[in-house]
Amino acid sequence: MKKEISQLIIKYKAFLLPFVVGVSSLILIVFVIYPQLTGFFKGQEDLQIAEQKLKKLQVKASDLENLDEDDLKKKLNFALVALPLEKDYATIIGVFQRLTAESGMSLENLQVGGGGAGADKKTSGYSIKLELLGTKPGLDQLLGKIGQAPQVMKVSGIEVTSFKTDVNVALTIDVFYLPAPTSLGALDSDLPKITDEEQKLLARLASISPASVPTTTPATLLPRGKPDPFQ
Amino acid sequence: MDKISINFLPSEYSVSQKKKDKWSIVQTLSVAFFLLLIFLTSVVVALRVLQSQNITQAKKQTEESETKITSFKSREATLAVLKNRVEAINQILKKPSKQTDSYHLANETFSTSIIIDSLTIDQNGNIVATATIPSNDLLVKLLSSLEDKLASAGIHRVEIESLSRGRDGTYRAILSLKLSG
Repeated sequence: MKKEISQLIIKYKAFLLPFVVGVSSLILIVFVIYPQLTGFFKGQEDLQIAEQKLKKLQVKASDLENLDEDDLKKKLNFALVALPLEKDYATIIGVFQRLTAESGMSLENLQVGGGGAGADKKTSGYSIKLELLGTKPGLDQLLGKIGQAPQVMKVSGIEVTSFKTDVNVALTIDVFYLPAPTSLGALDSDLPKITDEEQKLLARLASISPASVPTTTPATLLPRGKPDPFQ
Repeated sequence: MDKISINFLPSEYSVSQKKKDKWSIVQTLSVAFFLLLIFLTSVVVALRVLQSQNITQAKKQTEESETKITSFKSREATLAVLKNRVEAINQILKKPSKQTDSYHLANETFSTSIIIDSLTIDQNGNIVATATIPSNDLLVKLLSSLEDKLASAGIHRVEIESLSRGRDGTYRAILSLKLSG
């Protein structure tokens, strides 16, 4: 047996090295080079994705770091005066009493209506019906003041009955509010940017807001935890 | 004198020598190929190791950035609520009150000499006015003014729902102004 094997080796000695090299190369290619190469290309994709995400996060972190938190809070408070988080009948009744008194009108009756006065699907609202007695210049002034009020509201109905010098007016006004958003979004979501147009609006809101504005902390704006912690 | 070469070796020897030379080339090429493959393997493995380090580095930096962003959660919340609110306010203010605009239009249209007994403005901004007009001239002036305001002031249609003249020469009219849009 040994003699036969050694004879075979001698006979095919020339073919032996190429055969071993061929088999080894095949093994190297199939089990090492090919998997490593495919892993490398997949890894490049993963690396690119990771780098893009990293860049996004770094930009977001930098933008957040550069934000003036006090300035943001002030602007938020003005925005909350203009568009509160929820219905606030007490405040709005006070606003109308003040506006009508300043316009020289007499507030005879005030009715709070139902919902459905929202400007769009995002905003909610309710209607207030005012019955007033006063003069025509007073009514003109009141309509102007409603348009310039700190809280965003819109006249949605006017009925005027004139008795020579005095006017009897029924005004329907839509008052708006907007609950806080329920979540901030993903960690790598883009940071919202306040446009120039929105900055001008905020400046205008600041100029017409009352002198003392209640402060609100962001912690009270977003819901915290589950409504029912046991579920 | 030209050299004469005589090959005393048998022809089988030269044939086998040629075969041996051929196989020797094949063997050399095989070894060279194998060495190249080894080199390629080492390059690929080195690239993978480097890539793996880069990915680990990127993940580490990502975690650091995420931690930093989480620490600024309060600022992000303030900004998100502010943006949300300002966008909504902008949307509301972009659509002015049709009723207020119609009221001002009615003020411009009806002169102070005309007594407006009642003025109703509906949800679409359409105006219904009951007016007492003291004279024929004022009535003509009013109708002319309304005609001018057709199209220019956004009045789509003017309807005189009723017109009556009293014994004292005053006119009582119910006018309906329908606005376009």
